[in-house]
Amino acid sequence: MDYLVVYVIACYAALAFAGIAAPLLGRSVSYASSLIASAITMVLMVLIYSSLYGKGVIVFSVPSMTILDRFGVFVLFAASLATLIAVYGTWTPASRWAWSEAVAAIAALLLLGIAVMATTLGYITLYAAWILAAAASYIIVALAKDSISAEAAAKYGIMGGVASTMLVLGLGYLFASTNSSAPTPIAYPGPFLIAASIVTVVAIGYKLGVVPFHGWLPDVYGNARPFLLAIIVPLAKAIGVILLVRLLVPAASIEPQQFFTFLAVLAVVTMTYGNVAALASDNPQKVLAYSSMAQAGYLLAGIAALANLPGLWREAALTGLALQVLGYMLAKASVFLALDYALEGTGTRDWQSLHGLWRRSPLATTGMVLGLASLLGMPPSLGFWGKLYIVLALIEYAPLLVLIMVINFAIGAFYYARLINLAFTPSTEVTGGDDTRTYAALVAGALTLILGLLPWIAAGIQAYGY
Amino acid sequence: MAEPGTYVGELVLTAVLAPYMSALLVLMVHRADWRVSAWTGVAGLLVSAVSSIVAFMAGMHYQGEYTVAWMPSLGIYFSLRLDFLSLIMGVVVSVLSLLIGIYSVEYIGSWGAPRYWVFFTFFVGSMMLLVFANDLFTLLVGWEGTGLASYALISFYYDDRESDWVGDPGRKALGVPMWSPPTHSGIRAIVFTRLADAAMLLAIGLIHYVVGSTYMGLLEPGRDGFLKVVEMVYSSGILVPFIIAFYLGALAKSAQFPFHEWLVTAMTGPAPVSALIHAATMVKAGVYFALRFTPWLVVALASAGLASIGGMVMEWLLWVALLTAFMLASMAVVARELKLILAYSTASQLSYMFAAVFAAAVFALTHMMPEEVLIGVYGGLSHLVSHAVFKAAMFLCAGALIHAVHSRYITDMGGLRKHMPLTFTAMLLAGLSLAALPPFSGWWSKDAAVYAISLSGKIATIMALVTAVLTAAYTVRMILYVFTRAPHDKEVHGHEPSVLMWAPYLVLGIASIGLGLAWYPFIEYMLAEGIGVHVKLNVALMVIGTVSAIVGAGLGSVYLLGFKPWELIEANSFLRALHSFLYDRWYINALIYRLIVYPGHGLAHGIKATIEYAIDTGYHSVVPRLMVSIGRIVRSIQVGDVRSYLWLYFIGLIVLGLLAYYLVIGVMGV
Repeated sequence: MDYLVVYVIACYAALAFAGIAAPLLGRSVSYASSLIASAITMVLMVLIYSSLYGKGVIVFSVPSMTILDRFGVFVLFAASLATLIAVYGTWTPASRWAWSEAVAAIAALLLLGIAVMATTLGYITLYAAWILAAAASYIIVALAKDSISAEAAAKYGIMGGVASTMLVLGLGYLFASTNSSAPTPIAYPGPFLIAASIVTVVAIGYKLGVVPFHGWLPDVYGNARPFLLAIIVPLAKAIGVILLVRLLVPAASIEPQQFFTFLAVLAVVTMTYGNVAALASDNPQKVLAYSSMAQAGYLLAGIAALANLPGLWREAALTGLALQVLGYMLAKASVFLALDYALEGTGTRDWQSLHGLWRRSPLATTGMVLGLASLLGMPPSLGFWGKLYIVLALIEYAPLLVLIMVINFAIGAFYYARLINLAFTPSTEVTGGDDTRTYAALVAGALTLILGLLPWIAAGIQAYGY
Repeated sequence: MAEPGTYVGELVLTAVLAPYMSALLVLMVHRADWRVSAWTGVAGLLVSAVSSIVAFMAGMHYQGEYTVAWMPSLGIYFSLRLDFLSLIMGVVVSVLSLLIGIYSVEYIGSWGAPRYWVFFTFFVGSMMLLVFANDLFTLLVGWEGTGLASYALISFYYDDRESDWVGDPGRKALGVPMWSPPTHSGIRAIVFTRLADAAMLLAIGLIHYVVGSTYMGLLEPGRDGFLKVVEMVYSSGILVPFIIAFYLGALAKSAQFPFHEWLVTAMTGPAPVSALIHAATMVKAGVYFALRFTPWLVVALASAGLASIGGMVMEWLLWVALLTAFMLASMAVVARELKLILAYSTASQLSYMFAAVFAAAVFALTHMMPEEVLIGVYGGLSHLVSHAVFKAAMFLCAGALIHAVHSRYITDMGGLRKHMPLTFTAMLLAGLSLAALPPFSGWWSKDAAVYAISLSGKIATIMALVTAVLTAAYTVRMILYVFTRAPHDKEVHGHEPSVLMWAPYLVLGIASIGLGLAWYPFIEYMLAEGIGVHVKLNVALMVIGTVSAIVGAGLGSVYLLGFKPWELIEANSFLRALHSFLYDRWYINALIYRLIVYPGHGLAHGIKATIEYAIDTGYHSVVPRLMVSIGRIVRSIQVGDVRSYLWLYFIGLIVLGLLAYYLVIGVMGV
């Protein structure tokens, strides 16, 4: 059994090397290390995932509080796959910067943060991983080194500081109500536990873009360079989901009613706000920024379905969350890379920037269309299965929530379809040519479809505490 | 006969799938020369015909099936049924398809060839599937496939060229246009049949609800499927609607009143399509349905003690069939369009087949002798087979004639015997068979049908015989008009088509006398043996039937040769009104449009002007404006100032805290 721990430590080591040592050796080495470390993580997660068959959840005492469950492993697998593709995609656009090795290195650090979150249970370690990932995110946004990026990174950082403070508070409350240094399904019921959960949700919700803790998100996702967003937008969701699933174990078991209600309320507000705002947005990048919030709403609904209530189907909720996260990450990586390609040279961020994309790069357009189809939940993409399982998990207990979700899917179809339509609108000036962005966009988009064809229902996803 | 081998199932499967395969292949080669499409299609039909003939020879006395689980949890199977009825139908369908396919190669030529061949072969596959289906769901797949292909082929000339219309352009009855271009006809066909199919679907759904499966083996006499259905619907008080719904799809498919209108205008399709789909095969699907299920239903009704109600419904259906037979035959007497005459005649002859089955069912139910219904099956099947052969021949001839003369009106033809002797021979042989003159196959089969009809009583018999007189009369009229009579105004020039076209209809024409000569005792024995009933020749009835045919033929000749019909009609106002009544199809089309189509149209327009307008305004005006104002609100939140975001953040925290507080109090009841 110990070899599984070795795998985990190997991942940490590879990512740490890529994040800290490799950039000192130059751009190529940095990129290569980052890609190899992501690939190693991905492969090892597949191995761990398959060796967990029939074993459920494994907790190791050494190193302290290391945990392996299929949900965490799956999310880490998804994150490393998305990082691999996105980092590869940034090779061309980042090459104009003298400091381009930082892109790959910081992506590796961000992934290291997620790796720790996905495989650790202790509050202290989780908090350290959170800070690592958070700091990495601010830096990535600032990497463009222009005034817009600086402002965006500053907002991100300030809001992140507040959220981190909240998280400390939340972890303290959690410690008090579980009397343990890690979340457990056993806790003292009552207001204390509720307060702990709320503060935790408020802290982590900021990362997901949960309304009203989302203020930074439209400004950052709407203004930063899209190729950088191709890295952080997917990974931010992985951070939010894995931490919420880990830290809300006590509340989901002990106070399921309250847990469900306030997560459901936040889910409804977030998805509706995101969708309506996306509809009213005035450029494609803003649409994608608000669509991230809508998708966060769907994820929150899935997390709400983890509450230990009769009529809620927790296995389906976990499967749905996992597939939704994977589909979201691949789709957003694909779409933001394609958008970066589209914006380049047009000197504008408005709707015209997407015109004629199909003529400029069929590869990027194909990837983007597949990604958007997954985001909107078109069968048989990953996005479809993710949403379907979440809906299945909720349908019996909370039909009203499902109805609101389905209406939101329908609203989303409108603006996603508009983006697709724009890509096929003819344009007078056509300068084409593919680069790493378009290849990566195609691969990520195609994977949302191809992985959607696999029989995931047999995957048997389990998570600690549920 | 050979011992039934296990390969019969595979042969039948080949016969069903080969046309589907060639439909796919035609799609793949659709960019190639039109001849490639055509011969690819014919090749599939050849495979199908050969396999079904071999299967028939090997499996004539074989009861078997070829079953694969399809949706087992729903009790739905892909199942093919191998028994006499399906095997002989398979031979009729596939052989006629092959001959008509060969004819089509030249007839269709290059314009629209891939489209034609895709739907033609798709049709044959669906028809074979329908015929061999041993599962109601499988049957439905074939059934709807034939309907789809029929729709596409009726509208084949989608450019609505006037030469392929049905009806006289400009002619109206009760203010309703009586002409129909191809695309309109296609829609009519699909709407008319779909309406009735919906009823059939309900009935099948009900069967599935009771039996828990669509597998037809469970409905056979010996198994209690149908019995349970009949008892259930009786106890729910819906036995009569159930029986009618069960047959309604079949009645519409086979153009029975009041659904016959679709078949009339279906003549806008190419002649081979009319020959195959709207004469020889698809319109027989309804009859086949009746042949297949009526004996089972009769047994179930009899054993459930519901014979009297069942007999009553069967009698209604009988009278619908007899009415259709007479009505359509009377229309054929005055029609001027060659294919239209044949279409009327087809619907009328289909009614004979239905009438035979329903009359025997009435007899079987009233006399509590369920097996006697097989007499009707014998009559219906006999006439189905012989009609398929001679009517296909006539339609193919009609295609050649219309092509040669460039007019679809028989009044524009005349004296074509000299120019087109082969076509004349084929048309004459087939026509005498239709007129039911001895010793043609139509004579034998119509007598078998009339015998079955006579079981239900004298009035029905008289109705059938009167129709037989009309049939002979319009057939003779048509042949005289086209081939022997001097042309109306100018000299008409015709020419024989190429061998690919005349060979198929000459073969079919000869077959209609060949079958007649071999009928007794060979074919009669085979059919009777296969169905399991032996019908004694009713000499008296045959004599009366023959006399009716001769009288009709005589009347037809005298009418044309002895009188000047147009002058008579011009002169006499009663005759003029009668002529219009018949020529305008008893005003049924006009009534359907006045009572159903136009009010429906009005309703649609009303909805469009009110509800649709409201929705449209909502979508295109109200929602966008709403979105714009929401967008303004969103932008006012997203000011770009991090301080406001932080305010929002803490307000959110407080609101959530209050929410939780409220929830906790709510739960704890403090």
